[in-house]
Amino acid sequence: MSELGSFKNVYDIEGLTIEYEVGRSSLRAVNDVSLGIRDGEALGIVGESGSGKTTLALSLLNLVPPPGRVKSGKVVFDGQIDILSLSGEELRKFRWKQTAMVFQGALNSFNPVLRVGDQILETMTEHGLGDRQKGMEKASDLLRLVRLDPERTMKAFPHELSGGMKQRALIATSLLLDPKVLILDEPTTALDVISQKYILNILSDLRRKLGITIVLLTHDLAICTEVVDRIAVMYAGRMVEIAKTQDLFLRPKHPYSMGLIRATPSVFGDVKELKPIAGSPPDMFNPPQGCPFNPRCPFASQVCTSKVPNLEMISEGRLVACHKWGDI
Amino acid sequence: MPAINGAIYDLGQDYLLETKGLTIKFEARSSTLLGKAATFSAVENCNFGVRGGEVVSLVGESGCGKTTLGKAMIGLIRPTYGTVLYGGKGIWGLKGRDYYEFRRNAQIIHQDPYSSLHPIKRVYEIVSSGMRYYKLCSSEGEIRDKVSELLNLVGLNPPEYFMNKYPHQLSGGQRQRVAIARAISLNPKFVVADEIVTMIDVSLKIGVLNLLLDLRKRLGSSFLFITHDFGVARYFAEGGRTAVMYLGSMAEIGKTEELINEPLHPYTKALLSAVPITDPVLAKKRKMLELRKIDPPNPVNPPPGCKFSDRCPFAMEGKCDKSAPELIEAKPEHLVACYLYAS
Repeated sequence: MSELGSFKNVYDIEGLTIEYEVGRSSLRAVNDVSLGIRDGEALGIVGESGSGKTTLALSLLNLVPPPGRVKSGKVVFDGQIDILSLSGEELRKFRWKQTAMVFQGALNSFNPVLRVGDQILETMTEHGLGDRQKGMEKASDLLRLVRLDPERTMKAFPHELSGGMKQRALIATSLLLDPKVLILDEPTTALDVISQKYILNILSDLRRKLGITIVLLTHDLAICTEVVDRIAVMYAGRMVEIAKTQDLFLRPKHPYSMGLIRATPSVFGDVKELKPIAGSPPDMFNPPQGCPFNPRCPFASQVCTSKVPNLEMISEGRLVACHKWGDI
Repeated sequence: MPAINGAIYDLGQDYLLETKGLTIKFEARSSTLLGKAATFSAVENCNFGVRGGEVVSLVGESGCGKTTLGKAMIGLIRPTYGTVLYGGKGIWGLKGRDYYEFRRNAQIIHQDPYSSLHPIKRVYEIVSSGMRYYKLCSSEGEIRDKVSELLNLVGLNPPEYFMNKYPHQLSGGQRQRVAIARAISLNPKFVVADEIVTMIDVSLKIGVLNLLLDLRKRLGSSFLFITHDFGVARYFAEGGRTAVMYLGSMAEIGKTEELINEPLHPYTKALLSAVPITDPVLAKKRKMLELRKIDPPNPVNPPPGCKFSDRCPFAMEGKCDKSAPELIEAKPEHLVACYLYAS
């Protein structure tokens, strides 16, 4: 099922299922996911560790590592390029040029014995942007955009930069080839609150100045409030709710989204007693029958344990996979 | 009361555990092959205390020295300068019975439940070993009952099932519950809880936090709750105090609600203006306190004077970059180390 089509989608994901085969058993990391990513939007994909958000993001670059295998479904870029059928040189040209990704734990992505500037230059030559002078200018502009001093940063070795600076340098590097889409996997997880805030502000700047599409993967709902237009919530490999940021926070429709919001302590406003989500995350080798959230769900009934709910559109641009959403 | 290390305010009389002029220096790896190893202060000239039955949240970025301070307070790290007092006596001078009692009464729950539990011991042995060492039970049967009771208390039900598990058979949340059971098994008067929910899945965090809150009320122990997350700090230390550290120095200490609603130190203000919040309406309206420098300095090489002076938008030239401000009582029970509030 897809959403109302008045928006131009830069990505269309349809019925995507990805499995990892481990020994004799297999783990379904992404399970029948359909999602459209709109051109120019900032989309947050929220889920706990093991929810499948990273695997889903990797598939956008046809980068799912073995033993992962796409079982079924399609990932279409710009309405025409079938990403999962690309290979070799085509794929190499697609990555970074059309869609770039800043990986989780990216703080260690730089080669420790090369200066940051040389690594930036290498990326450019490798992708056929030969003119050194122009390349350096472009890199400087991008570094300034992420609020780094270009001269100092280019000359520095990675260990001379703080975590926040490295992360920002990486974001600049990922933008070198003017990608249409930038995917960031937990970009602020290892950073302190102030560095985190600056990175989020920079992401907003990038959208405004470059019109780039941003996909932000995170386990922390709270960092989505200011940057992201829409949020897609994943649980146990499935998409359980897709909504505009404001709608999701003010009126969550899936019991899991609701649980996550209720379990986040706030600094401002009244101190509310927070409620944990009952039970524990599912064993992905042995997921529960029916709706994957049913063993932890306070609203679960007979039907939830036997039938997997479809991702249904309940109002414009709002999708929920829950048998009981009407009662919530 | 005399001034301590130049501190202007009175440290008060009723602290269960307090630090006076506590400084802890570590050696940083030398940057030159033959050069002398550089040292830096993880904690510098820190005057801080926790009262009997009180809960204090300690907030700061990673690397600011909050864990070092917590460990020093229960005698796991020896101070380079200064002292830690337990009931008014220096902990490093305690002998015999007194030392034994201090150790029993000062416990810690570590950050990482994946490395803080002995991997080849069963939960039963992990939780009972302290009680056995301090001879708190007279028979094996009594120990068994006590372990049962503790596991029950931390929500590991049924206890008989969890007793015989090894740590690797448990989830992060369950492991942290075992670590909590171990810490409270000795009825401590003072517990350091060091980032105890950082490594736990989002959906399970609140369960562990609520458990510890409930135990705190039940046991009446003092808690030093260390966290980088202001929201969690506030949730835990509601009605108590919160302290903010920056690069080894105490920046501000006050009642939790007052510190959050009327922060004094520019660093606290910056932190609070940057904390992510789940209210989208409020989030859009909020203005961030812009700093002069986005990135913190290298802790081996902090700026002279106030360590926040190179980033602080209110820094006064010739003052803040000359000498470090002392912690003063700007309002009743509200201490701040900043020249903006010095009379």
